[in-house]
Amino acid sequence: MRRLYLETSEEETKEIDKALLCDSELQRQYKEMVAMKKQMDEIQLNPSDAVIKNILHYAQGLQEHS
Amino acid sequence: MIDNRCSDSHLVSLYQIGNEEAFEMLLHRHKSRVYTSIYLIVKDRYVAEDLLQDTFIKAVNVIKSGRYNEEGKFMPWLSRIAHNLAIDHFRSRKRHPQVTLEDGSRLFDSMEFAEDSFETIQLQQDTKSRLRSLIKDLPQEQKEVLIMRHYLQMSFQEIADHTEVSINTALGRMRYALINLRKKMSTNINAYDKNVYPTRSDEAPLPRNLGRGDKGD
Repeated sequence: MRRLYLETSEEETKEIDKALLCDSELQRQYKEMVAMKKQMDEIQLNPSDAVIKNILHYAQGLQEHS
Repeated sequence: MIDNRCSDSHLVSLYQIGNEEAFEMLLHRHKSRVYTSIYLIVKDRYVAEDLLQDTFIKAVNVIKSGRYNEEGKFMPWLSRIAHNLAIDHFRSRKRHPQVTLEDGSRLFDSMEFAEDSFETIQLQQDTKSRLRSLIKDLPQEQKEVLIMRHYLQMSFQEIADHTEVSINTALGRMRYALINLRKKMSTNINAYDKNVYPTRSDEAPLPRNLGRGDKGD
């Protein structure tokens, strides 16, 4: 999991990558996790423009008063 | 000069001294992840928009009042605000919120597709809707870790601290969340019509006794 989210140290990354190369089952599982992660990126939603405008107006208004 | 390479902490500093463009960039940089994570908790797009607004307003108030001191960790800080607001909202509701798809439809209720292009678009759309639904329906603890790590970009250690569990527990929950999603995604695809959507070769059932089942993160 930490390798998947790039939280491993350089040394840990090397060790894990070595294990992945030697173990096809581990590699298959890891690939599935990578694919799932990619799919989760693709389902991101965007808020409406109106909400973004509201936030910007608020931030701008506060700026003017400060 | 502001560009995409500016760090969050630099943008916050610029906004503190009056640069509105810096805030706009921060907002556009993080709005989707924060919005998606709130939506996956509250399960309602309109409520999620309100809470996204509240999140950024709270952040603006803190930054402009000079109380911001996250030492460069803007996103984890923003994430905690968003997560707390979403959880507060979720808890304040007496009943479990109704699960609805964002477009109000349930694809594959009808299998009548007039054109290939429409079918393709619908299939892609449905895959996304289904994944969102599956995330929303994950066990609470798994969903919480998944949202915090993937969408709110908190580290596993930050998640462990925030949820008061060990890092290994956080890692394990994330792993089971991904395994569950993967399993359910392929099950759901097959549940429709195998003639229309045959099993992909890379989704063939796993042989038994592979051994590496539940160990290791």
